[in-house]
Amino acid sequence: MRFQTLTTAEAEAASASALLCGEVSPEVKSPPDGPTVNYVLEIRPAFDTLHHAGAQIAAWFILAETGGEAEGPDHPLLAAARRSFAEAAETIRSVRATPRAAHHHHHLRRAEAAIEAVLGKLSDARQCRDPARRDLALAQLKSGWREMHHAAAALPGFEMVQFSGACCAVHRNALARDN
Amino acid sequence: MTDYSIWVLEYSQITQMPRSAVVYGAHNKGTSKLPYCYVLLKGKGRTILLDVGYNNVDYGAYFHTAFGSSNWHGPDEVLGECGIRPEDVTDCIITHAHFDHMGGIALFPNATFYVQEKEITTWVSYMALPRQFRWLMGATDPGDIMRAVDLAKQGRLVLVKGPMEDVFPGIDLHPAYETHTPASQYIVIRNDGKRQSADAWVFAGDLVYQFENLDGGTPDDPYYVPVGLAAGSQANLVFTTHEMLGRVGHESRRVIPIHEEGLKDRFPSRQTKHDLRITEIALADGEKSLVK
Repeated sequence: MRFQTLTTAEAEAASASALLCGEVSPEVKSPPDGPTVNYVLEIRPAFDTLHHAGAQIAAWFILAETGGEAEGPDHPLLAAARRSFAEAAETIRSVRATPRAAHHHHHLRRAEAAIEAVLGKLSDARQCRDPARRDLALAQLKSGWREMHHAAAALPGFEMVQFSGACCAVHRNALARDN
Repeated sequence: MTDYSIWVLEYSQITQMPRSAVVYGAHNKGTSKLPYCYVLLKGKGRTILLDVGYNNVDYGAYFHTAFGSSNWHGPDEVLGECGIRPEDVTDCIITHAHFDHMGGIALFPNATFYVQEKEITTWVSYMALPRQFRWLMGATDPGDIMRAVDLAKQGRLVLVKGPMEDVFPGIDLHPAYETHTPASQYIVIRNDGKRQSADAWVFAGDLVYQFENLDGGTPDDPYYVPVGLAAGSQANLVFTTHEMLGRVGHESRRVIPIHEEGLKDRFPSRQTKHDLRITEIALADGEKSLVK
């Protein structure tokens, strides 16, 4: 399913809404409209896959910084991150956001761009070994991760930590039943 | 002679945690309060934390809404009750890589962190798996990996390989593989400094949540019941519980489950102005009580 392109006014509204970044924004507290629900259902796998790509790159960094086997761009973690990113990016670039989802999508696009830039900076063995290059890439990864936090805070249905396997997830089910 | 002062410090809580999450198989047994805590050690010239809680900035609001956690306070307030600033903390021992034990690492800018290497490398290997395996990542925050990268770059991350005696004088680390997590670790404090200690304490992380995991709720005829979540096996948790008790001569009051509300009934405690509990497990020679 595809949705209308944002008008200029809607884009400006989304931009203003983005000023709320860093907290759970008002959008997330009220139920989304039907088209936005469809947007959430369509984009959520891509959000999760982009999140996974970011986690894979972070995992490569910890190996690189603690002396582990992390030589170059063909390392399994970076190769997996590239695959994850490509899969996520295709959906993120093609799905049209509803006005209600514009704030979320704005941040998701920024996250996608940041992670693409990180992968670009780690695209050959020399770059992967260069500490200065790695520092730049790590800073960009953190920036992308912040964008994902902002995106998760802008619409219901997106999680930055997988709580589904955690003991506290049982509690969530109990809360839902009680309420 | 007592080397370390030891306090369990509450920093948040869930008021209605289902018993089944705490005690394996306890379905339809209602709920109880689950305090979130970390442990402060002072002695031998060091200020040490066992675990660091989570950072409300990242996901506290979500956690509060989704799970009913409440009354989170940062380490400046929690440690402030003990006359300590976060900057004063010299070392942090992380029992396992779940967000509520490791998520606060950025809050202690001068500390060196100790975590089992296998806990991190297994987590990293899980990240390379396809998304169908994401259950294995439950309760971990990839953001913590990025914070750990910063620690490593600053030389403040020590990846511990297996058991480690005297990481600090009288303090030992013991891994518990394939239990609550791939490589949780528990901490033994030999508070008289002796190898065969008569004053040892075990800090269990999440290898046991509450007293009931140690005695099955029947202290006169005790049996071990694992916690409600094991990424490894319940059997390994049971055998680790026996191992931990063995390190304190099977004196169960010396195995400290930090999520146990009943600690206040076994040890001197007080509520702070933020309604958080301080429980005093031990006082080093010359140290003043924080609860009297």
